[in-house]
Amino acid sequence: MSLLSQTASLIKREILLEQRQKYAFYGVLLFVVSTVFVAKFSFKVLNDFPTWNALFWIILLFASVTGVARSFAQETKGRLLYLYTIADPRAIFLAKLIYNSILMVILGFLGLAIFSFLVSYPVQNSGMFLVTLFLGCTGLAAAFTMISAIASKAGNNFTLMAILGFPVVLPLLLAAIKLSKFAGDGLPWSVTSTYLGVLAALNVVIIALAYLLFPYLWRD
Amino acid sequence: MKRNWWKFLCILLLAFTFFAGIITPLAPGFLITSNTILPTYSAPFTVKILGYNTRFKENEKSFSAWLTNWDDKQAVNTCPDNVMIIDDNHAELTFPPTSRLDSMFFGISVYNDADGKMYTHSAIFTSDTMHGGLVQSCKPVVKNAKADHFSFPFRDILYESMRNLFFHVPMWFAMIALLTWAIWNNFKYLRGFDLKYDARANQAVNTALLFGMLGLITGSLWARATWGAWWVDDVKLNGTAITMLAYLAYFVLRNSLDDEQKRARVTAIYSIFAYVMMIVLIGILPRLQSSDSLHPGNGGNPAFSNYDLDNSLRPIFYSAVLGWILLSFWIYSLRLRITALQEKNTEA
Repeated sequence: MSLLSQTASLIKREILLEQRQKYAFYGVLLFVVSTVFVAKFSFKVLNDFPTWNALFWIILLFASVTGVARSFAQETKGRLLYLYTIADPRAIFLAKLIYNSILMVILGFLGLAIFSFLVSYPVQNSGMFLVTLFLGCTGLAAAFTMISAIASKAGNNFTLMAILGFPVVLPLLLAAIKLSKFAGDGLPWSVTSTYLGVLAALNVVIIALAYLLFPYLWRD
Repeated sequence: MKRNWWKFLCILLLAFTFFAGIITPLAPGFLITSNTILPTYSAPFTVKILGYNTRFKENEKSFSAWLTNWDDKQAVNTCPDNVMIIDDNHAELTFPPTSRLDSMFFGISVYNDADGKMYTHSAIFTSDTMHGGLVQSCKPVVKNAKADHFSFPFRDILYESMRNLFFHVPMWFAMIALLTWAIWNNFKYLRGFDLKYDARANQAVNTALLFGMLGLITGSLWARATWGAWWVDDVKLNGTAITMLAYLAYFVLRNSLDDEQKRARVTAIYSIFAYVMMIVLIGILPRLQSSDSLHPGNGGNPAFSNYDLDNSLRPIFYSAVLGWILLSFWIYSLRLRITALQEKNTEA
């Protein structure tokens, strides 16, 4: 089987697992809703855009830790061994990456909807904000897929996942926060192109690095 | 002996750095200790000058001072009516009553043959361009533009703390050099799974963290002296702090794995990942516009080499960079040997 068809069937497997378990996606979604409520009640009024922005991305960050962390942790030892014998490690990584990216993008957009509905939506340049949200979510998903793979080798420790992951995703998060700040202030595209470039380049770098390194991590 | 030539070079370079970096005096310069706002009424205006490393009294004969006011095309110089030299470091200049003004800011120049020409731009300003101003134009004589001895430049805010350039900046060069060496060894490990490379990478990261800490400490001291706070909200500072966190996490990861080969593999992968992110965090993000940084070359600030790194600092700075990098590799090689011996001991 080629890499692509392997990847496709592995993504199908992920979706099937998700459909059977259900609690995973809805669990993270519920997590987002509860965090938004916590933010709403602790801030009461949230008119300040930088705070709104920072809060939104922090909620997304924690959602991605809880959501993507499972991607390797949920696999049993036997299942991992089975996958190891039948599939190309790159296909396994790509499947996890694509599945997690889709999951994160959906979570990101749903999160934005919930956040806007319950708190406020002060963004002026919505197009740019949505592009930032998309790139930020895919980047977070890619970085945490890799970190989750690393953490799974060290006993699936959630604390380890957080301390390994946060410093690594910080450049991405900073670029995303800056860019969505620009979007919120309604700056034109021409001003923000460097940051957009950085964010896109970070996505590419993270995915390329993870794709190249994952096969080494995979064999036990 | 032949294999250790670089250690001698390291000692030599660092000795030169310490010696030349501390002994070389700062160039003569001055501060204004009196009111810097030009009165808008017509009255004589007195400026009190506090010299640093200056010899006013000694060179009283060649002493001159003047205000420079930039009109549309050229500098208009105004000389004081009365100059009172109190001692080598104190002088008082009294300027004539003012009547006209071309711009709101005046630079002050002070000159004598031994100290050369010293200049402070925008030293005096006025809040009212309609009244006040200086008309008497004079042509000062400048024989030696520079001081008669080798010195570091006298810079506002930095002053003597400029010498920290030879300590603070090379720490980061050493850290980056060691981390790059660590990554190189991580790659080599992943190619052949030889634990020798893992030990090298690990000790390189260890030593790099030490130099990172030193960089933060020297930076913090420098920030206190120049920016007025031990820690400022600066992208570069936060970036390095985060890098430290990433590498501390590296040690946690390392300690949580028991199997040697597995530990080497997992940490090599994380280390490569963290290194690339660190380059982005402290190398690329701070250089972008509007990233509020106080560091030279960041957040739209001009880099050192543009004008800050004076030619008098250059040779010492370069030898400091090389010297500290060599020292960091020396420490690294010692640590490597110690761990090798410890392992031998536990095996025996």
